[in-house]
Amino acid sequence: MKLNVLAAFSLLAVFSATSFAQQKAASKTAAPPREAFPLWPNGAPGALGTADKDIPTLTPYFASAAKATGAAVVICPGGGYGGLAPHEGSHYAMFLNEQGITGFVLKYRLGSGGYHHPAMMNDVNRAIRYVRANAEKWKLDPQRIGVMGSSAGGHLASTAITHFDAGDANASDPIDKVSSRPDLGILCYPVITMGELTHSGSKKNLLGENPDPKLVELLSNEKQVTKDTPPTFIFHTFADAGVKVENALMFAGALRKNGVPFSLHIYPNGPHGIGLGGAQWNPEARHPWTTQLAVWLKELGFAK
Amino acid sequence: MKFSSLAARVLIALSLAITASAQTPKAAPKPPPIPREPFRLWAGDAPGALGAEAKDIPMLDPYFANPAKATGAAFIICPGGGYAALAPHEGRDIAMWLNEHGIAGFVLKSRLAPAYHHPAPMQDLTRGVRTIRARAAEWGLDPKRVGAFGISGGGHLASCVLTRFDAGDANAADPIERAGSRPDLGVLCYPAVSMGPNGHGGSRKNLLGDKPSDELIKFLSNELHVTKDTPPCFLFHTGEDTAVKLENSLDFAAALRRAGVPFALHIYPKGRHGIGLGTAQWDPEARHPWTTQCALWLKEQGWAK
Repeated sequence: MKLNVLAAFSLLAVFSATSFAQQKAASKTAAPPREAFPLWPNGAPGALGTADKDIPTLTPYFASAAKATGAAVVICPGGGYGGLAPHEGSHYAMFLNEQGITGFVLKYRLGSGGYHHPAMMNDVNRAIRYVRANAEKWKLDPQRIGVMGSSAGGHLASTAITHFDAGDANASDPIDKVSSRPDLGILCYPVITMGELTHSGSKKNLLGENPDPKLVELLSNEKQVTKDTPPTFIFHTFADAGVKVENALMFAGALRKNGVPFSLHIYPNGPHGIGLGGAQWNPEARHPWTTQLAVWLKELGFAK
Repeated sequence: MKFSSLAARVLIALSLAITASAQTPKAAPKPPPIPREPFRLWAGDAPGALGAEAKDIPMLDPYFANPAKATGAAFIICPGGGYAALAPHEGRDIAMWLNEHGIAGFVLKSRLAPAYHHPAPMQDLTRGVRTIRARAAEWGLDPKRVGAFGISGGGHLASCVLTRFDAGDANAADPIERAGSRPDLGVLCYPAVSMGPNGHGGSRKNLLGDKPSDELIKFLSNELHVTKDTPPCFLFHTGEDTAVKLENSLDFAAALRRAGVPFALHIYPKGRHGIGLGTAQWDPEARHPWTTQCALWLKEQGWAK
């Protein structure tokens, strides 16, 4: 355990050093992607092996020093808990960088890799703790760490904003000492419920065949909202044929009942998986939801 | 206030003249046959009129788009004011904003409390939609693109007609009564939709009196009356709205979804009730972001250029 902590610290030292070097160098464009790092240096809890699929990681995209606000967002790409779509990961990080926000793309464990709940939740909770525990070193604000997710990644993000804890003060791992509560949530055409209106592929990958009704209830996140759920931004389209818009409406209803402020943007048109506007990176062809998100991030002090 | 509306009209008239003269340098152009002043919805008394004073005469105040920009689409606008007043920044300002997008706006002056209650306002709006549709060709408008735009208490009125309309009476002697009253689109800004527990108390009292029956409350809780024939809608509301609860929009959106009617819904956490386009004074530099989302939606619907 001693050794783990030491290893983690030396790893962090390397990262923060390269981070500063890079922030100095990159002034014109958003920082290019840097190396992904594992969330647990000695293997994730419940890991089934040591292959790539067994190692949850974060890929950091630091905002340029000239623009950086100190805020950060952990990004959960979609893919029905069976894959991870790049345009809902790295593209979001680059978009956030434009707003001065650092993005961390989470590679979480998947149903296709033999994993079910709680592996994914453990990964996202750990990711928030990881960024928070290292915030100071990375010139980030530990009180402005959000979570963002699309489609099934939106389910994982909605899990993160409804299933968190304050951390374990007695833990030996310094990362486990800090809170896993995100300071805001961004949900894009999210799967929310595991009930009747769920996305069945995501449900199967997350919970397996014939899940216990208690587990279905626990991960129907519209039922898990409390007054401590952080402010949330939700985007969905009426025409979404992959994940029904009811998911967004139900979550907004639950936020409202619990007095949690939210921004909700439903557009009539647009296919599931639209991302920032399309699968290809194209700042000229952004969907209007992105401007609404930028306004909201500014309002919350995450963006300049 | 009168002055700026007058100024706007003069500007429009001037630009009409300039456009027309540029196109036809020879002959002096005939002014288009469009009304420029508020006009009555009924030549005689409105049904149920209690007198013949200004308050007894429902009217439409027309704001036509510049012909160079006009798309042929039109909205009838129901300003807020809790069924007891009509807020200019939720009427005239909306019309001028629609004009910017090539859409004609008709501000409805409906009958108000304390003199009038249900069904007078609904009769006025219904008649307004029929009037614009019946005279669309004459005014260079498209009878299939006549929408209802309502704000706050006016949002309740608009949602009444978005959920209750008819095809018109083919046998009516009055040509206006032959036209359908179904709006082709709805725009609802921080609307009072319900008359139930989440409704706006002031609007309820003004519309239904002190002790309305449960039947009447149910009848005018418009979230209960959405059908597949309700037209596509755009909804805007803020979480901070302390006068009309956000639930009014959330419940109406849920009803639209159940009925399979496509909608746009934009909820912002901040912003007070009555925010209008962004400010109580006309200020194109200080627009709330909902206006850009609404303009995009109107474009998508083929109503704006």
